[in-house]
Amino acid sequence: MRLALAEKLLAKIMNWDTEIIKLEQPKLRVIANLKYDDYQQFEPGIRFIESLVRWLQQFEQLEERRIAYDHFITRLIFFSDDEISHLMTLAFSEYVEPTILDKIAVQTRIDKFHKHKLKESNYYQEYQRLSLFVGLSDGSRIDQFRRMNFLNNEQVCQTYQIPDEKAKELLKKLREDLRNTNNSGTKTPKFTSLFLLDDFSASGISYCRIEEGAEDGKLFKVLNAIYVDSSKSENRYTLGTILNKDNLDIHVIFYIATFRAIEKIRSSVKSWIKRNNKNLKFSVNAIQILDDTLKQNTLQNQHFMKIIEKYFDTSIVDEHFKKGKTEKPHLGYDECGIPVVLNHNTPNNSLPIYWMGEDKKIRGLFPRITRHRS
Amino acid sequence: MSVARNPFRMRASERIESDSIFLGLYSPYVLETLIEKQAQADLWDNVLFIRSSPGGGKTSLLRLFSPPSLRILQGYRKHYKDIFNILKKLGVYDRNKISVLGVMFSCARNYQILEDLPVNDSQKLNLFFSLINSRIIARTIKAMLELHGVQFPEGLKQISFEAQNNTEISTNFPNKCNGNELYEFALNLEREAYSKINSFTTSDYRQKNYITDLFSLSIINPSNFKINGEKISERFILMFDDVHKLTKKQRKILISTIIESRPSISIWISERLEALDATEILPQGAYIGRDYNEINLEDYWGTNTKRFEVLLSNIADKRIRNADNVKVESFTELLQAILDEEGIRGKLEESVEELKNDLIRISSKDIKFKDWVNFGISQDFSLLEKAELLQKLEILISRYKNRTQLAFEFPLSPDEIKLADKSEVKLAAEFLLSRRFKLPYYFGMEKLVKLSFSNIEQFLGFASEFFEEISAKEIARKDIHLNAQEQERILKNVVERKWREIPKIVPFGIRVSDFITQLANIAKVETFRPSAPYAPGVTGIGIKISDYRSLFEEEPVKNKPDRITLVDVLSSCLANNLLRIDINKSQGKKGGEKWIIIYLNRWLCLKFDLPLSYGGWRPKKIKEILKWVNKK
Repeated sequence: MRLALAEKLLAKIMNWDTEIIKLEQPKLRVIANLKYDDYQQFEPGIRFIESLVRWLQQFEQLEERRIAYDHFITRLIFFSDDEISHLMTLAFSEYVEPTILDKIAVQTRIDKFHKHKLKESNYYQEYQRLSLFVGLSDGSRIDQFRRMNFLNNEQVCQTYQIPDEKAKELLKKLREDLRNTNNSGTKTPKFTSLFLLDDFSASGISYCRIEEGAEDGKLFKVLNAIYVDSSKSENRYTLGTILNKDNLDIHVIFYIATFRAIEKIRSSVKSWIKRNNKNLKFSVNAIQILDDTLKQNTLQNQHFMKIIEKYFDTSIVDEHFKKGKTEKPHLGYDECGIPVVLNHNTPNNSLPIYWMGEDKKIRGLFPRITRHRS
Repeated sequence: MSVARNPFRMRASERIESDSIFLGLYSPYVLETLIEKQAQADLWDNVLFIRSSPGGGKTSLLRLFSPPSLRILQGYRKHYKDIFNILKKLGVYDRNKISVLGVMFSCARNYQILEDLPVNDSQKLNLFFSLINSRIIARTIKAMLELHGVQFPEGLKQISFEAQNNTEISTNFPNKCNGNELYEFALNLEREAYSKINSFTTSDYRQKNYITDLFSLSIINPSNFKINGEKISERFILMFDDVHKLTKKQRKILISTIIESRPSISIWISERLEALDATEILPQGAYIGRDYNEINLEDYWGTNTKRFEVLLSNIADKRIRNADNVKVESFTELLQAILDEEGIRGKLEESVEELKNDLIRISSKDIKFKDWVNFGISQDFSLLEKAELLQKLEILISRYKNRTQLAFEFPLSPDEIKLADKSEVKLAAEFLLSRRFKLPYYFGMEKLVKLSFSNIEQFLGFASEFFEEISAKEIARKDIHLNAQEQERILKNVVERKWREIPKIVPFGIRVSDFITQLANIAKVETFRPSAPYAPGVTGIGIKISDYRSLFEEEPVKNKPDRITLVDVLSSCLANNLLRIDINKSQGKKGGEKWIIIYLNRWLCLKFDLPLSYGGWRPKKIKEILKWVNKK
């Protein structure tokens, strides 16, 4: 669809007069050019304005279209590729480096506020090398993260399921690199810090959950791989065998996360530590925290709430969706209710009205490619 | 060429990155100013000042002479034939060669910071000249490579330099070398200057290469350079852009050094009027007329209004052809230029009725005008023509009544209407009718040109708002032509916005607003008098030269801060193109005293509901004007 035609259609379906067009068209062009046209799940030939027209057309009443448009234009948050990359670039300076410097401060008794001194000390390179960086999903952009921060290839893993050979190699290289340093006090060093990186979490459920009495979720899997599974396979190299379990700190860093997800992960891991009686320092943080006002703003918009309920397609409530709360499924996975879109895919915690697929009651503005296909 | 959502929003030449887009939007009519200078033998091998308020078109003019533009024009001469032909006339192209090397030199590169360094004035001067000289040399060498399509820095060695007059600049200046060595010399000069700037001590300033003049001007000369053994070009133009961004001290010394050095190449100095201090910007009676070459773009267009209209139409047409959702060839054709009577029938009927009743009332009291009124009422005209005729009669009757010597008490013949009827009465009638009955007046390309007040950016500001409406109508699938009412509504909104900005962005903004309001109020009172004595209206004030000069008498000024305030306000208004000054207007008899006439920018006329014509002004004394800017 040509842009000019799409704009004409938009004006028609929204019944805009020239005064409104003069206000809205420049705005839509700017956001389309800056961000929205880059949404990776648009079909070929479709760009933002065309998708907007198709989305709005599906609402039966003009008033419904206006309410939906108003919510989209005032409340939707779209994280572009550049913005997510920018957040990723901050992860090292905001969380990784301070963690390493704090450890050096404890070790050397240099005042922790003397950052420059700590960074110039003999320990910095070594403690940095003793850190293992693991991506929890494709979105972690761990390859970019490594290049950006000049990390050694042998201290970075794309995934938390590390094959034997890879784990063996990581440990071998670590020991080779630290052969001439003595600060860690051992000739057979292991990684002492584990940084787990991911781009986004809204509910925290996919990281930590109890399902039919059993621990599940990416983070529980990592913790169990370190502390439980590794003890069962003494002759193998696993994540657990290359980490120094006696003196280990684990840090989860999200580029974007809700306050609720952070709290859930924090309390779940705290319970896990207690349950398993382990000596483990743990932190979870996000560069960009999304607070609850995002959801509250939507909840307070009664007209919009009616629309999202009316156009919700119950067929999206499958077994995976049911892992979260489902009393108000029109608020998205686990009722997170956040109007958020990431440039590569819309999270299912976002409002379904924005991401439902072609085969649903309404096709979302930023259709989502689901991870679990039946 | 790329398309734009609103091509009228692409403003300053600096912000249009692509040379081909720039050339596509450029209107060659601006070059007529240079043709005139060439005819007066003032264009080449001379110092030429190019001045205007922001948006006058200075940087665009300079950019046209830069090597990338000249090369594109040469390669695509058919596509840009209008620009190419004028440049050819100027001698920029000679057969298949580009015979001019334009070196654009921006003065916006933080030279001001030098003034804040904790060193004495001569050390600051040394740094200033070191940086300017090094950058002129480096920029010129790069421009040479650009002109000949040679890669930088690989091609530096293809350039050879030999100073014809042995120049003693410094001990290590290479009088004969290749481009690479000269470029290195320039870089070292800049590095040295930076090391001094970054130094914590002032001892570093006591070093060799103590530079206190623009030696680069003596070496930047066509006879000193060759590329692969061939002449670089016949002429060099060194174009200093944004000179107003230097500090006052730096600007003054740069200009005086350039003028004193009497360079053998063309030097063009482009600056905003705001760079000029009050005594430079305000013409001072007898001292009017400069002792150097100057093109004041607004002055030029102000005296060549027809050409300016052609220029703006050309600019607008070029721009609208670049719009992505409106496919038309001509911008002017989209603007209704004649009132559509059907669209305003109600208002016209009301106006004819009211004017008729007024005139009947007058004629019932004064028999002299009976035949005039009957004549007016009986004419079989269209509603608009009739309303204008009746309004005209009201003016003529009012003028007649104001005469001290009235005629005898018998009816005046309708033939006398023709005698009294002059073109300015028609203009006044049109204007007064529109304001009285809320009919559109500010519409059509001709008025848009007047409203632009000789400033291209001002025009683009209005045109871009017109375009927004046109584009919105296109999207709404409506007729994209703008009728008179729509044009006036849009223009009114724009000027209201501009008016609100004055206190925020114009120096002495609040006093400037007060001053303009007072001036406009006087103009309004005079314009809306029933007899329209200064038809079509008053849009300015006049001050006697002798009175005006008192503003600049040094001694009294020191003791009269209110006069300083007035000078500040006036110069701020001129620098920001809010006012225009016409000088040497004789009033009355030959040999009468000359006057300085201060006219409002035409957008201010729109703001205050005044006509857009010139010529109507009222005399004022400085004593009265001082009160406008010194309100308690």
